[in-house]
Amino acid sequence: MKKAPLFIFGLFLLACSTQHKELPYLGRHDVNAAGDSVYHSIPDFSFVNQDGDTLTQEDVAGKVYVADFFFSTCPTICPLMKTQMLRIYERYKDNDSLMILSHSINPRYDTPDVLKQYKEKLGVASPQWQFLTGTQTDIYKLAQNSYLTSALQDSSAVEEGGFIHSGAFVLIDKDRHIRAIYDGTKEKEVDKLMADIDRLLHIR
Amino acid sequence: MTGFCISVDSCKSDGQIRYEQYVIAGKSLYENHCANCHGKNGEGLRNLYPSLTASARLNDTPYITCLIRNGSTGKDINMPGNKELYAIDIAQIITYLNDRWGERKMVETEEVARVEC
Repeated sequence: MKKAPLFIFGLFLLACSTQHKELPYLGRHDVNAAGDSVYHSIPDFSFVNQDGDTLTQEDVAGKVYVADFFFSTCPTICPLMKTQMLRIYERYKDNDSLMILSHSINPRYDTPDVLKQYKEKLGVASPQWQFLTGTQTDIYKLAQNSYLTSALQDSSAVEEGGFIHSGAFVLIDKDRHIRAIYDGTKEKEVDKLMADIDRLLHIR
Repeated sequence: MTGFCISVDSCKSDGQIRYEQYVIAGKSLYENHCANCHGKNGEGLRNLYPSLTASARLNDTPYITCLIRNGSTGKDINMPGNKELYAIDIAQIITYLNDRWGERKMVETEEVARVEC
């Protein structure tokens, strides 16, 4: 009889662990010939990073990563996004299962040299956080079609520095699926993002 | 007696009241136009955006006026201008900056308007 409380306690623990709902898969779901669900996934890509090196899907293979879109001269939401991204960077900088990919939406101005300076000034030394540039068409297509977020050039957006983009942080799992999208300008959203990264990386 | 108290309380000089108005308006302008990069508490963002809390040039009104108005595209400072701001807005921002991180001093709108840049 004395074991009953322990047993109940055990049941309680079990109940708690099943309460952790799995993160959803975002984007279009298709069904293949075998009848299995095929989730939206990030297609192959190729961009140039702050060191002038090519970075592709191979560099994030088997890793969880956070993607965002910004430009170095953006006076509005980017500083807020970078402040929040730094929190993520600081927290996971010794864990190479996590990467961060920041894509410039003003690649004509944001050359590798400009991005290198930007990265250094942010105090980011690790290769875990990559700053990427490429052709504008590729980056805009990637943002809208692959990461389900928005990036547009708009000369009427004077206050925004001539570009419109969302402040989204997109969370990608080890199999290139989008698992969640957060508002990267808000501390609370980023708290949740880090909790979700922990779940994907099985960190308790 | 009550009337006396009220009159004592309202004895702030016109200059003092105007100073406080400038600081309050300056705070709101700062939060809209400057705080994204320089931070709500002037802390900046690492080496990307400078902190304002220990700036030696806060009381250099002509310098700060031109920086806020036109920005700067130098090698070390890359800051967008704020052409939409009027002289009174800039005077209020500089008054607020000095109130928080420099010496308390009223920066007059006329002083800002006279600056050529």
